[in-house]
Amino acid sequence: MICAATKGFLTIGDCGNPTSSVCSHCGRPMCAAHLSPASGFSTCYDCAATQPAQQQQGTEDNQYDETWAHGYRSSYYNNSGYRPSQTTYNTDDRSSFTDRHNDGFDEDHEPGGFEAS
Amino acid sequence: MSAWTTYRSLSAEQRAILRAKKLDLRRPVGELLTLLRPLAACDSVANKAQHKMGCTLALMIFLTLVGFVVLANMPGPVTLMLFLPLIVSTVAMAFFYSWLRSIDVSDNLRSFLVPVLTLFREDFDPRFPVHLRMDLSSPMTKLKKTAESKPYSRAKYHRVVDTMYLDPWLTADAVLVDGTKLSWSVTDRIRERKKTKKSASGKSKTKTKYRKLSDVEVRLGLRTKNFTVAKGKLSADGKRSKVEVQRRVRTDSLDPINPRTLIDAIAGVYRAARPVTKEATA
Repeated sequence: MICAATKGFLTIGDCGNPTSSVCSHCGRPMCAAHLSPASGFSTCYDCAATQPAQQQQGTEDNQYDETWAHGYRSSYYNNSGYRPSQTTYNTDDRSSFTDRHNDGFDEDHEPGGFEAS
Repeated sequence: MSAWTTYRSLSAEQRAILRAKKLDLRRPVGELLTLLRPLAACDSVANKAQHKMGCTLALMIFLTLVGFVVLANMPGPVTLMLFLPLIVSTVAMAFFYSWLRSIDVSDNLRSFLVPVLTLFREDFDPRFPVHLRMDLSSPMTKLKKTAESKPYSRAKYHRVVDTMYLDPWLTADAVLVDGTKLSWSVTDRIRERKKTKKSASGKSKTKTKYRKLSDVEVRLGLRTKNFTVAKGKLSADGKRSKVEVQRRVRTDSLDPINPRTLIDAIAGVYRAARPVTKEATA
């Protein structure tokens, strides 16, 4: 089975990793990377973020962790009306960034010949 | 956990960052967070300790001065034995307070950078490093001072002096998982206004007020094969739509700006961009 978590903030993508467990709250299959360590890896980040104790954590203790990020994402989407697009890229798109030290927007070397293919 | 224990738990690299108060790192976002989160936690603990200690230290310095006066009037071994522990503990506390100040870094680290990196962690392409340059020193150092006005009068204040500071404290570059190149920078312009007036009793009172303008500049280069951007400017090779966004936030305090300003600016560009569907490109 494949992890049911979505990842990203600006664009949303499926996790796609193999499942390691099931969230004890929502019952969705999750990989280890999307289960909250604070819950003993039994609850997914989205469910952990809805716990009242977690909602205050970020601002009070400066604990800006993954649980806080999932809670923030959810409330940001609700409050701002932002609806991220589902990612339309594939992993080949990334191969074009081979020049790690070039930050210019104008230069876009693609020695992998991505555009030509 | 105490500030000292938290500091001791930091790695040599993290301690070096606290001392230098500067970051220039090019690493994957996961590694950056592993490095910066303990620093943010240490800064939080150190700040709390500094606040708690401030009042106690002031009281102890006052008591020590009283002790010296008593000692001068009633010299003798008994008086000295009574006040020696007080003097020693005041000096020790002053050293510790000074050390806390030396490891104090800008709150922008824990209130802006760490939350932003955490939120965008899965948006950054893990195969490419995020390049961060951050100034963690105080925004009002001599080096950042750009101008100071001549004293002038205004309403009931007979002496007003404005001092201006420029603090370009953050620039970052990253590649996102959808191929977008993202860079942003934040620059603070601070006006410190010292206003002095004379009260009815003839006493001079000085107030200090701050005004801060935070300029957030965001540049995105979205791949034209993934997104159509109506107001984007095409790159020279036509492969990217370049979008630049600026936001300005004005506050009457020195508190760090809300990360939401940056998030809104980037999300605004994405909101205006239309994903290119496979059907459209076929």
